[in-house]
Amino acid sequence: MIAKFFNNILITCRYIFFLVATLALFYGFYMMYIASSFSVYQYWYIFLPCAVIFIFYIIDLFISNDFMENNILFNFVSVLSFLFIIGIVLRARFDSSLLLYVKYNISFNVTFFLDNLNYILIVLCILIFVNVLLFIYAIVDREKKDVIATKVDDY
Amino acid sequence: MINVVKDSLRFFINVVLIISLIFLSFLIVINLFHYKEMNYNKIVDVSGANEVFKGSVFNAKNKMGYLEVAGSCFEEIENSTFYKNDDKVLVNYQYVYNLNLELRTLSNTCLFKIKSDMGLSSRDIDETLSVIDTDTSFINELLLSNSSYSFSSDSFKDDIEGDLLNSYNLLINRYILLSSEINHIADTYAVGGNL
Repeated sequence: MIAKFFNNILITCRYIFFLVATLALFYGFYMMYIASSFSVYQYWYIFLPCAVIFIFYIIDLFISNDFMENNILFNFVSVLSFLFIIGIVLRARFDSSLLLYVKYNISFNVTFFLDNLNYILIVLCILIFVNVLLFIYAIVDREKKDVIATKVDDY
Repeated sequence: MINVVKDSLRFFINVVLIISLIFLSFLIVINLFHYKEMNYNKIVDVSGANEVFKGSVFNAKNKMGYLEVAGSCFEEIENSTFYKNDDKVLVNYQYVYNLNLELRTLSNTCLFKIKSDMGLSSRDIDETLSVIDTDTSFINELLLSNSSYSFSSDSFKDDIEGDLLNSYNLLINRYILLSSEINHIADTYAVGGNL
């Protein structure tokens, strides 16, 4: 009962934090564009995994995947991943002890954000990989249920 | 058969999730440590250095403060953070970085401008300018590199604190060097000597 309640909170947070993390990434790129000494187009690929995860979540909403929804570990890792992305953007925006923040005069530490972009990419790619595995699992699970249903019909 | 595939897949998914959880925890913890280390503050007593600096500036101002070119220099010194310091200051990255920038400005306004405007040629002033320029550039590069982070250890933490305090002490020395050079110019100017 408590696990289910905790899981429901994690599922809600997963969707909300995904949207916030994507918006935070957009904000980071906007600040990079303002800084103007950085090429924004060079790093467009970071939105590719975001788009793939978005598609997975849309599919997940229509095709209910029990194992994905009941997997607390998956939901927890997803929430933690998005919190990490949000944390990096918040540090780049507000941590004035990182002195490059002062150097660019735009209240955003672009270099810190760029340094962490690869970590963000790795984290998002891991999420995509796990999502793919979960969908394969759902397909296998559905086939098994179909086999059982056919056997029950035969009896 | 399907059961075996399903169980292995479930096991593999959980293993991948646990590995990614460890990786994520590492990234988050290392960031938290870095945040804590970069927000390191220490209260330092600078009453002695402050007294020497203010004394030199006061003497120099008495001797050549009426000159227009020196007037702007003394005005800038008196508005600087180091001059306005209390006896005890809270040293952190932001403070040392600003102090360093101010010293570069003061060195240009006071030594370089006085030297060129008064047509002085002195090896002492050139040397002081060069020392201040080299040290402030070094401190600037050292401080600006604090955005990058890596696996943190006790020795790394000591390095961060040490670098910050060493930079601060070096800056104080350079402030005193600047004030004594201005004082030297004023002394020589007062007796009508040649620098």
